[in-house]
Formats: sequence, structure tokens, C-alpha cells
Amino acid sequence: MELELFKTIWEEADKKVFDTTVSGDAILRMTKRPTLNIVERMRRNLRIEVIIILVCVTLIALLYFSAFNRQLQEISWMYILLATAFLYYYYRKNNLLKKMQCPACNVKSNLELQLHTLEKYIHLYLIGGIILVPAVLFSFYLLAYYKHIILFPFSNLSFIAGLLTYTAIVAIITTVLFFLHRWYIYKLYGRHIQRLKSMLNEMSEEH
Amino acid sequence: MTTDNIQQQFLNTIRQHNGILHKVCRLYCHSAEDRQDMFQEIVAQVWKSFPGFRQEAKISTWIYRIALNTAISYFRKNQRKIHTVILDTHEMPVISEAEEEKQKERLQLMQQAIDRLSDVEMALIMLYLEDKSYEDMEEILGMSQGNLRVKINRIKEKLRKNIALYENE
Repeated sequence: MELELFKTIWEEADKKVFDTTVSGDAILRMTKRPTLNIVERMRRNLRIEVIIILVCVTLIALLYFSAFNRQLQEISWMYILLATAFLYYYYRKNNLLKKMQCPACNVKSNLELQLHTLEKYIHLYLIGGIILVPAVLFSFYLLAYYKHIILFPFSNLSFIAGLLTYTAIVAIITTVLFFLHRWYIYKLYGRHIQRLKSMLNEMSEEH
Repeated sequence: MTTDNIQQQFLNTIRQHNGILHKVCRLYCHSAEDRQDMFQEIVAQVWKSFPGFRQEAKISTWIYRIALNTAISYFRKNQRKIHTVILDTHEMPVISEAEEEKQKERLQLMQQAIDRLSDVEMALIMLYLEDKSYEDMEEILGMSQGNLRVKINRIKEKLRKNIALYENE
């Protein structure tokens, strides 16, 4: 079959299909239905994550504000501080997701934009997510030390020796979590990034 | 401009360029369900982008961009199957039975050959089949004209091979 015949077949096949007109109401309904767009779904998941974290933090903060004869109110403040850091982190993530789409741009620049923003997003996800681990652990250490919490594991060590031992433990935990976190992020987005890269290569290669 | 006017303009644009949307859906999706989902997704994207349309580009070029961007990068369809999806008979022009059968076979063959192409190659061949100029292709895809020429020749060769493969089967 000659390729020029393709064009004829393509044109002929089109003739009848597109005669059918969709009603105005049906078209307007389409604009309001939940989207299947990947980026929009990521934003939706992000919103759910924020809500879950805010609910959990509020409950924990309320508990420490009212229980234990109000002697552990600092823990509530610490959670509120961490929640604020989380909110900033999610705000940045959401901004990147908003910038990820330009459907009216040409296909290549849209793919480049997506790839560039997704790489930034992953970087933020990885760094932001992992920085929170030592931040939380050290905050708990200081709190436990100054509040003389009985279960504090290094109570028989001096402040410096305890801090050094704790730092070593935190370093191990952070390193392990960093690799796990990286694995998880690449499992989520790695294939999509590869796909974007290969499409861009395909569009760029001259020979 | 009032909301009603914008809505009316949007509806007119969709109706006028209905064909482009359908063609992209048919090319990238195999099942009727996926095609319908993609069509609605493209309509939603056109609606979202509509206030930003500045008449700098031709409206058809703008619609092609949105449709192809949605098909290629935003829409997660069911796993693409390599086997042929026979197009519904109502999608065929009315002709004599023998001719219709022949036409159906040709269309099937064309679909099979195109199915083996990558998403980018599909976009290119679609614009080629639509008789778009290299300038228009460049504006829609963002690839240089030299690159487009090389790529289209390569895809044509690939399609010839794919067709020969299926014709021999």
C-alpha cells in the first residue's frame, strides 16, 4: 500500500465520523467533570496529604496542650512549628505543580517545561522530606533533655557525649531514610521522567 | 466580554474543530472508553486555556497543541495494546459492500502500522496526513523544519516496513 493512499483513507474515514455534533450542554458538562490529568491528580493528592497532616498535628497539639498537667506544652509548640515548615514545603510543591503545565505551548517546550519542573519538584521532595527527619529527631532530643523525661536513653551520659551518640544514630537513620525516600520518589516519578526524556531526545536528535 | 459570550465562543470553537479532537483521540486511544475520556479531557483543557488565547496563532494550531499535549503528556490511558482495534462500522463511509470491506482492511492496516510508532511519531504522522505545512508542524510541535523533514522521511520508511510486514502476514 502506498503512503499517499494513507492520506486518502485518513480523509475518507473522517468524513462521516465528525458529522455528529455534540450538544452545547454536553460540552459544558465536560469542562466541569473531575479531570484525568496527571498533574491535577498530583495536586489533588498533595491537598489530601496537607489535610491529613494538619488534622494529625492539630490532634497531637491539643493532646499535649491539655494532658500531662500541661507540663509538655512545648511538644505542642514543636508540632505546630513543624507543621508550619510542612505547610511551606507543600506550598512550594504546589507552586511547582501549577507551573508544570502549559497545554497551549508547543509540544516540545511543554515537555521541556514538564521535565524541568518535575526534576525541581523531585529535588524539593527529596531534600525537604529528608531534612525534616534530623530536624524532628534533634528537636525531640533537646526537648527530652531539658524536660528530663524519664525514658530519655542517654540520661547517664554528659550532654556532649549524649549529643554525639544521638547525632551518630540520627545520621544512620537519616542516611537509611534518604535512600528509602529516594527509591520511593523514583518509583513514583522515575518512569515518567524517563518517558519525558526519551520523547525530548526523539524530538531533538537531528540524525 | 460576558461569561455567556465566552461560553458561546468556546462552544463554537469546539464545534468548529471537533474533527481535530476526534482524530487525536482515535490515534492515541484504542478503546471507545479511552477515546471518550481523552476527548473530554481535551475539551476541559481547551476551556481552561481559552481565556489565554491571544489570536497570535491560528486557532486550529492552538487546538492541535492542546490536543496533542493532552494526548502525549497529561492523559494516562490504559496500557497501549499493539493488537488492532477494529474501528466501528459507523465510522466508515457508506459505499458498496465489497469496497467497504476493502476500505475496512486498509484502515485496519493503517491503524496497525501507526500503532507501532512512538507518541511523537504519531503526532508527526497525523500532521502529515492532515496535510499540514512544515511551518505549521514547527509551530505545533516546536521541532525545527530540518528535523521534521528527516523525521517524516524516517517514519514513512518505518510505516512502509510495518505495512509490508502486515500485508505478508
